[in-house]
Amino acid sequence: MATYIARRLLYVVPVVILVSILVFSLLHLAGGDPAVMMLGAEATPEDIARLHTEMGLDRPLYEQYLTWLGRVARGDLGRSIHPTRFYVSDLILQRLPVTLQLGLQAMILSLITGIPIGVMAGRKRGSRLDLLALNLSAFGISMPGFLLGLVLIFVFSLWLRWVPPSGYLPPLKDPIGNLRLMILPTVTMSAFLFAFVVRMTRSSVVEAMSQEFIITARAKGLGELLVVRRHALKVALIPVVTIVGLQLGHVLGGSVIVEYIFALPGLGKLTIDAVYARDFPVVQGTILVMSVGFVLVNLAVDLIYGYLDPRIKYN
Amino acid sequence: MEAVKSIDLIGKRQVQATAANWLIKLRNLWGDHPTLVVGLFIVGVTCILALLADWIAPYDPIKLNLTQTLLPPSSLHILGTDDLGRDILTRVLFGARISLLVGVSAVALGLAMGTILGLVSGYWGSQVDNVIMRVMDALLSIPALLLAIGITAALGPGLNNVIIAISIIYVPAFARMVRGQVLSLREQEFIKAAQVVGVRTWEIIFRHLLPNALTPIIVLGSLRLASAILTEAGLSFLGIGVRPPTPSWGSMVSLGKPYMETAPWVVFTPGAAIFIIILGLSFMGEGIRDALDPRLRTQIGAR
Repeated sequence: MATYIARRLLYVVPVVILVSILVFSLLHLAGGDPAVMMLGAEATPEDIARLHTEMGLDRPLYEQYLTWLGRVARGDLGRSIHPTRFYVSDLILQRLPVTLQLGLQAMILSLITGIPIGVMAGRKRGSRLDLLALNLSAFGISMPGFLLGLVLIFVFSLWLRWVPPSGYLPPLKDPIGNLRLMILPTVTMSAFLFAFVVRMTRSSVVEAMSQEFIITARAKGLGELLVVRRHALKVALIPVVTIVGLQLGHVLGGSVIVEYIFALPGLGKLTIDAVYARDFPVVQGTILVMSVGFVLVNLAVDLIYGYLDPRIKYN
Repeated sequence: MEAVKSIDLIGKRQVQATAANWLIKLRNLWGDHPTLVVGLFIVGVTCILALLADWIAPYDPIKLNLTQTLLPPSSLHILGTDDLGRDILTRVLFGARISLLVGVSAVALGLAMGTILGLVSGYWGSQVDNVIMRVMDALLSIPALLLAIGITAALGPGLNNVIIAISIIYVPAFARMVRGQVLSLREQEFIKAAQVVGVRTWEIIFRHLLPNALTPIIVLGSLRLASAILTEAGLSFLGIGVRPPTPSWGSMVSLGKPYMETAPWVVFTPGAAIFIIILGLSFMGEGIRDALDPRLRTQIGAR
């Protein structure tokens, strides 16, 4: 186990470094002068020169990268090129809680709705309920996030007027208001995850129910409910819960669209606003932080999975 | 005379027989793979409509008509008009072209790059393999939509840049899968025989390895089409994809958003079009997978 953890940790290092190279090279992808690209054609030569010295754009690429990496390693992601000159790390820390709340709520919602439906479908494969579950999940996978979000706003805000269409209130100041505003974004975000959970649970339960220990449990006269609850689910749900953790990438990517529609001040909104403003230090910072977060969560999920499921071999 | 007649008859019978054969085949396909048939139908109809857009669309997709703005559906404008007085049916038909064009080109480009990297990685192995695969891991570590957003942010919006940005998302999946195929094929007799006989390397790769790895490549490609079109719609919705006035479903939804309360058809018609084509493509992709090789089910999931 210890060598497994060590190897897994060692594997993460080159990946994170390569991710940082990819993110760094975004600025130079288009060719041309990055300072001109960010400031636009109407920028004064002084402004361009200032950005050159600040970001070290005159030096060779590898030197720029190493300086940048050195700063990033110390938690300094640079400053926004916007006149406010905010530190990128401050902006990210400010916006992170919103995205975390949204992502966690969506994951929890998709699990508590998707698992029961997936279990019922998996137990009675081919039944009407199973068909319904499969259609529901096909629907959830085919529904673009932005469309679902707009449909929800149309029905629940504009038509029924149950909740406000968009906006954000901090949970500590106004918990009820916060929840009212977070309901629609959470549902929007969870649709795809829900579909995914239903599919995973269903196939996982189907597989578990065909295994020998289930036949043994039945043979010793255990009631069907106990067979499912105590034996099948224990095995079937481990992969489901861990694989949902791996869908964090989808949550982080989706946060851009969901936060854009509902005007939530999270990391996704920060990213897309920075893209509009050609504020590359912020774009690079958010993409880097979200990607590294994604890598670390994948690592944690792998390790937890290995711990939970003793059948996995560490060689 | 008699002879000609009988030949004629045989010809007719043959035509009838082949037609009947086709019907039987279609019925069997429907029985075995109903989702594939539904998916092919939806995708086929969309392709035909997109190709015929020039002839069947009632109006011009780009020309403004400021006396006819935000009209509800009527006999003149079956699906209504948008905020600039353009016929929505027309724009949805032309939008299908953009969606299909971006989806197919992005997947084709990603497939080509990924396949080449996978072949190289799997065939040469050792350090080349190591470097390529770690870069693929890194690409997979950046959430797909963020990667596309980052690349379009750097390259700027526009049709070609969107295609490039989306294609890069799919490179790692193809590279990994092709590499896996090559690794298992490389050890087989016919490849070893070819090596021993002195067949050139590129010939081994393209004449022997590639054809044998084709089935999973096709399956993966068809499964990724839906997500490519979804990503294009998402980027255009965010305003960094295909630029207006080019009719793209995503940007049509986004531009109609302010009028959602008074003129919901502006938003929901292109929205429904996206939903239907995604549904059709995922049915088609899963159908192709199950029809060609059901074993791939566990290997190729969704991203």
